Amino acid sequence: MALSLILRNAARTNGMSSIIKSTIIVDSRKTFSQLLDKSKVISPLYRKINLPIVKRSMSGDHSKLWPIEKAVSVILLGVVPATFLTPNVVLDDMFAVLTVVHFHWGLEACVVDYIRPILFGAALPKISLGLLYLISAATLGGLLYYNHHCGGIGQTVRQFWEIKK
Amino acid sequence: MSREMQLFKVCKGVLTGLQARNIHVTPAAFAAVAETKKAPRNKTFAVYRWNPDEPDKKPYMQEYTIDLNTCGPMVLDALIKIKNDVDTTLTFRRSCREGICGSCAMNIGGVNTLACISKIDASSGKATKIYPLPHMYVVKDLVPDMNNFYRQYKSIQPWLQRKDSKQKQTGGALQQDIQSIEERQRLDGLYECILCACCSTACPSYWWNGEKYLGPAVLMQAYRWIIDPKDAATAQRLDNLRDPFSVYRCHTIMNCTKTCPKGLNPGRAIAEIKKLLGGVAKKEEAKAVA
Repeated sequence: MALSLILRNAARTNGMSSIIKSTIIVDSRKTFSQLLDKSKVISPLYRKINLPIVKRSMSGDHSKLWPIEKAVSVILLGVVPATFLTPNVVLDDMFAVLTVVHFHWGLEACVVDYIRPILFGAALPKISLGLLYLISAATLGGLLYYNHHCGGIGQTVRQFWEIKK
Repeated sequence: MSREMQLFKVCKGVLTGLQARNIHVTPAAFAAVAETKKAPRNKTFAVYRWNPDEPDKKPYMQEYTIDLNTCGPMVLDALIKIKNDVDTTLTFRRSCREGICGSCAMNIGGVNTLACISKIDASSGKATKIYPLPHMYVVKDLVPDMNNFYRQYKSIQPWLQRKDSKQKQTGGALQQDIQSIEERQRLDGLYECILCACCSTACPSYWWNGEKYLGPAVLMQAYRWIIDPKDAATAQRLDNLRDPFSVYRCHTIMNCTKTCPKGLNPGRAIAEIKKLLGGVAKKEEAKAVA
């Protein structure tokens, strides 16, 4: 019995040491959490035991934009068929603006999700986002120009059905 | 090391076998009786292994084959059997073995679930693959580092906050704050969460932005406190979630709801938070109960 106890405890203490080692590994790696970055660097031990509750450090308010995003999605359900059924300049322009902002927000989410500072550094995410704004603005400009100086979106899509004639 | 291990195993068998083991290994005892009738039903488990004491060695999959006749029905039973009989170095968390503590959350056959309540797939001849929760830092084998998750949980202040508690105490007579049945029912489907992190670690948004996005489990608890009729800090709780990352990295992928081992719906809770934040919905305030 005593032998088994000793052996068991030996195994346990071995385990303990490996846990301690692993926590050191966890600590020494690049700080994963924003919360850790913001908290004042004291001793690692203190940091582990007493973590202050910090308001997450991201700036900005997305709560106003969210209902607009959803409203645009719903309006698009009506505007898209209406543009093809009764093509006119007003609907063409609405189509252009709404689809461009709709896909801009979608792609913006992709850029924010996938081109992250943790992977690409500080500069590249900002450049990508800037590029996205540029592309969206150019697309919108192009579509509006097309609506006013060429056929218009609705009319153009209708023409697909007239290819046979 | 291996000699120590063998000695350890022998001693364990001899010295403790007589006392406690009989209670724990009833399936084995049962199987011993039935052994003459049953052919062995071998099942292979491929388990993710990584040891922090050998940092140069890459993580690898180790296969263990056990006879299901001598093992309980759940994956956790198999893991415990492997740890007891085959390889004592296999490391995993477990506690309640009945799906209420959330310790044994892991990725089994590609799905995040609790090992204790997921049945061993005996029909398939293929090996069942067992990984730690995805996209988490691994402490050892199947044990993920939950610090970030718990810190995020702490950041939503998961406790009741009232403005009147002090007043009532100083006023002398403390009164019960009676809750109606309907108000209590609003918390159903929210309070049952055991924080096993299956949903959060199934969420791609949480994989990509885990340090800033709170993840479904924590957000569902945030919602639970936001809509609690007794809680008075609603506005402040919502204000803490307003930024583009805490909530709005949710793209309604719904992996969370699909994987939840308790059958809860974190996806819906996040959508409700978005509605509350956007002013589309309003919290139902508590009514006085007569």
